[in-house]
Amino acid sequence: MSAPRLVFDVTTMLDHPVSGIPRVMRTVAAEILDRDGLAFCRFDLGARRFTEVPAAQVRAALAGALGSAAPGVAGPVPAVGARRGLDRLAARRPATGEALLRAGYFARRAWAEARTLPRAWRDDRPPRPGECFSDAWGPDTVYCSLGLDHNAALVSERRAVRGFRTVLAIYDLIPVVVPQFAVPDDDHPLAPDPNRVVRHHFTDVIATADHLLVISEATRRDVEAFSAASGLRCPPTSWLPLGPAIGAGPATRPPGLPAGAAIRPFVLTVGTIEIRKNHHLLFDVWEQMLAARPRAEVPELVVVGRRGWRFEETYARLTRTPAFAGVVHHLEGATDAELAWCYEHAAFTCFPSFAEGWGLPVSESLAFGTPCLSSDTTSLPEAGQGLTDLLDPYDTAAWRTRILELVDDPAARASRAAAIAARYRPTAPSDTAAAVLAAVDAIQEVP
Amino acid sequence: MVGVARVMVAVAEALLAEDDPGTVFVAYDHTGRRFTELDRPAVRALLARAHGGEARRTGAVAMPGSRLHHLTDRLLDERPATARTVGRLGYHARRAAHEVGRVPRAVRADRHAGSRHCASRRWGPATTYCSLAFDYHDLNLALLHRLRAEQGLTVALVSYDLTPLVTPQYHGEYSAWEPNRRFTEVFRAHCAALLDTADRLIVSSDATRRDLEAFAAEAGLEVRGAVQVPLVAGLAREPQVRPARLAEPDAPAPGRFVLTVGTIEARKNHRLLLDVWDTMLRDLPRAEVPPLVVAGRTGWLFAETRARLEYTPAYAGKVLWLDGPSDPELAWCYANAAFTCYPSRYEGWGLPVTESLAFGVPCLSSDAASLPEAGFGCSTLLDPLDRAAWRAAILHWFHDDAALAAEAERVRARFPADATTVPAARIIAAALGERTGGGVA
Repeated sequence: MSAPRLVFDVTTMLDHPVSGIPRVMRTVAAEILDRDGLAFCRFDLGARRFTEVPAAQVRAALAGALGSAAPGVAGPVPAVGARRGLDRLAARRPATGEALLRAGYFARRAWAEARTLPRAWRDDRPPRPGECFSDAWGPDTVYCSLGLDHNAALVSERRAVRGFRTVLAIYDLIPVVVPQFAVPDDDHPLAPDPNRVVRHHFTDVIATADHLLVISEATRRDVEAFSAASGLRCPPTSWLPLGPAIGAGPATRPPGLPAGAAIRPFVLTVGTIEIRKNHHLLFDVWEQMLAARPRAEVPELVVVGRRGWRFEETYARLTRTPAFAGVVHHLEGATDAELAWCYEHAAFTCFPSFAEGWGLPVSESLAFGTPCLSSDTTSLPEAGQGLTDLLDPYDTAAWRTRILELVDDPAARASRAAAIAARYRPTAPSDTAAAVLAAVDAIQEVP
Repeated sequence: MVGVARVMVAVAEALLAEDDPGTVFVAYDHTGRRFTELDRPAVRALLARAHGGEARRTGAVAMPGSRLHHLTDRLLDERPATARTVGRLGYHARRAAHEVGRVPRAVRADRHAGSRHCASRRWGPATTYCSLAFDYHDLNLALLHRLRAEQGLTVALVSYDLTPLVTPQYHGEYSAWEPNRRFTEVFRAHCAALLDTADRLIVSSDATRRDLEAFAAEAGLEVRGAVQVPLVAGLAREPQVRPARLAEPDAPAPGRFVLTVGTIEARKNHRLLLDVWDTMLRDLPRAEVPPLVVAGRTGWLFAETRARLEYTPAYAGKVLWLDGPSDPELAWCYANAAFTCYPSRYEGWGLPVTESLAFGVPCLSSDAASLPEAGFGCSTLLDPLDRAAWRAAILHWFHDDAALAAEAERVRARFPADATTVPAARIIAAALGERTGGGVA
């Protein structure tokens, strides 16, 4: 068997079907499926080896992903289990019963871990020759991964042996630049300094990539600054354009919206519920509006997004502020059709995020022709293509003024919508795939 | 110590000093569902322990420094899957061992539950039972209600605030003690029982009294004998110890930092201050940005604030978090702060405002709820949502020494002298309904 020309890693896409990055991977995979010399692979972090994924399996995954979507939020820690005898004991001796139940719960968790030890030990064994798919790759092979598999160190190791070349992607350097807003690594019992883990990850990716895809100029600037500060040679970079996640298609009114809600012009904000998205700014504005205006004159705010991480205060405020009842609505886990309805019917959207790699909700708002007030930081001016209102994500007063202006003045909304209709340039899925293939071809031309 | 706990300690000390044999100290044993009597040496020991400060959080890592931790750290490079499994296994095994270690205590508690060793047997119509408990879980109001009916005792209780009802968004959705009941529901029932049981109520502020009256009107109850006693914790008379973190080379000089004191939780609105500091660090030369000392331990709903405090790179040397300072450390911080900020969204009183002024240190305070009362007209009141106003006031006071000195002078001249010590005598008098005789339990 001759070495594949292009190996496309689909690990993230297969393991985590919901969220932004797998969606980008699906877009690209669907466009390149029929290319000659293409192979798909996945990476097993436990066993630290690559395995080949048949194209048919990728096709099946692409077909399946469009339908059902598993919830992305991890469930709560399982409740303390109870056996009948312990329950009887707990009825008579509550303190003893509870202490034993808790001890039993943790003992069972420990036992469950102990039982997976042999498998973990087997997985750690270095692969024998031929066991790893990368043994079939040669100097003409390009390994391309758009996923987040934290395997760059191993890719680098295999690359040194097999001489293949790599195209990797960096979406953002948020965990390095603004770690306070990033996914916490620190709830794992063994987590060392979370910033160290993240730095190692980006260092490995930059050191391993022969070519880096970045999704915005802002990310490119961050990557270059990080490389310089870490004493790394930054590989050639090129832009990976991302289009809206959803487009014109079926739109249904979200059943999560109470009857009678969102009939008048409403304001929409889309994004994971997490500290970085800065929902607090909008809540501040709405609290102030509710204090200053008659209730009927305060526009409704529809907040679409699942809970992500570092969201506790935001989520509590969103769901339990008494004054928000009937004015601020939360839709958790809206489908694409429901989201499309929201974009279509919203008077305008707000996206006050502190930091982004790109800012898909801005692209989506523009794709639906809906005016957008966006934060002016990081990549968001790029995503807005000069068609959004750019505001300081710390300046509540400026947001409040602009929101009231757009709420009260339909003409201001109409002129913005007209500008979007005339000048917005959407990114097609083929543009994203073409950018990946251009990077691959460019590398293959280098001897 | 939480501010309210400090008030309880001061009242207990005042009662000890009175040395009235009619005064009895009791503790409620939740597992045993009974009152136990504490003799005076036991109370003194408790008070001494309360003064000793609190254990500090050691960080998010569950088992720092343990041998298992080092072993797995090394294994992570060579056998990562095994190392992770061993790590989780060790963690759960240790938790299990810890729980097993608590079983004997639980067995003892169950054995004594409901036993006849209950101090309340000796209470009668001449007895006043007084509890300053701030945690609703520490009170068994149903039991008190029954004792009041059966034995005719008088009950004096405190209402510190109604935040779980007025601002449920700053509390957990479910009760910490009864995880399948909504906290607002549990707290509403508690307030109704409180009004139903208390013959005398001490309220922390007029704002709290108004909240309580609004609640009573809605619930068809009445507020009996409510007396307002300001909360003062008397920290100004504590010894002072400079916190180790503030003695490090990158720490601000005494007198050259802004202080904010309070539990790290959403209601305290640290977010406003961190937003102000973010913009100052972005817009101004670093040297012009005042250092901020954040003193307080984590309470609830703090994940976002803690992440910002711990991980924001720009905060190095500019925003310092003292997690769980002791009382002497807190006293040092107050005494050496340029001024304090307290942007809380809602309070039943607002101790850090009163404390700051008691130290003669000017205070920028939120204008919400009881906070104007807590400032005795000496604090500078700002809208807790108006970032621009806070930023302007903070920069003005920090960079204009004359303005700050004038403000400090105004505070010293106008702050009431009796608001620097815990009003223990007033609390005791309120509890006794200003009668003499009758034991206080």
